[in-house]
Amino acid sequence: MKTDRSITIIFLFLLVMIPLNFYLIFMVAPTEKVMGEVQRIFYLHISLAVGAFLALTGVFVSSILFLWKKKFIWDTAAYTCAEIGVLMSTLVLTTGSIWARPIWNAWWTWDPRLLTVLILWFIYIGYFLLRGGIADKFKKAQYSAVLGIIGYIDIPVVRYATKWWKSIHPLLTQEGGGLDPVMKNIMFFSMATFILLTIFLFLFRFRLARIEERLEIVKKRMED
Amino acid sequence: MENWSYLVGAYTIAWLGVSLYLFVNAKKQKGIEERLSDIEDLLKDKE
Repeated sequence: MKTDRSITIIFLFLLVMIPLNFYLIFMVAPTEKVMGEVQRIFYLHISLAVGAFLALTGVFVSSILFLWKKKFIWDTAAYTCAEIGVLMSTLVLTTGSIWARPIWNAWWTWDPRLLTVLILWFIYIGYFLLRGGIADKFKKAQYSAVLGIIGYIDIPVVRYATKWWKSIHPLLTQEGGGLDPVMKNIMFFSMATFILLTIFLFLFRFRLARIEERLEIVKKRMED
Repeated sequence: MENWSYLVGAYTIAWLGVSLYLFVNAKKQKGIEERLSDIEDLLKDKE
């Protein structure tokens, strides 16, 4: 019931924020001098990455809580976050690739940032393959929690990849990175919109996961 | 002009992806809820 109300409230906020975000990106944000119009992908690409990192942080925290408390609700939260993390990182890779084509003249390059995000994506695809391969409920939750924690090590590697290794990926997120103040404010608004969208997707999927679990319990009762 | 196609493409794919995810899960939820209520009705009848 509490989840339902939260979903409705966030949905109402998103109904206002998403169109406003579009308006700011396409009508208010100035056109970047070197890249031109295509630079507007930046607002989407960065915001999706923030959403992905938020969801994967959710996997990390929930996995720790599962191993500590041994309560299945944390396992449900972890795999729900992982699903959203995979969705968001797939979109990060896709939008990045579309942005790279006119700017770098290639859909893909083996740049450290791109490579580390791809590794991150494979880790969480592996997370679901692992879950699919284990029948025992507790073992499934335990092993995937361990992978969820280990996989999170890649997040700081992704963040600092452009600093640690030679990279062609722009350092637009660094503090005071020469970004126009209007662009910066619109980027923060876009990030806030996608953070809220990530929370909405999580609550929506989490509610479904709980209903699925209830169905399993009722089915067992039926068999007995 | 060509750059616009990449810009529109990126936004379309991203929002289609999110919408598709929501649509699939909403449909799944509807199906499960129907099944759940059917089973619960059956259980009530049994009792």
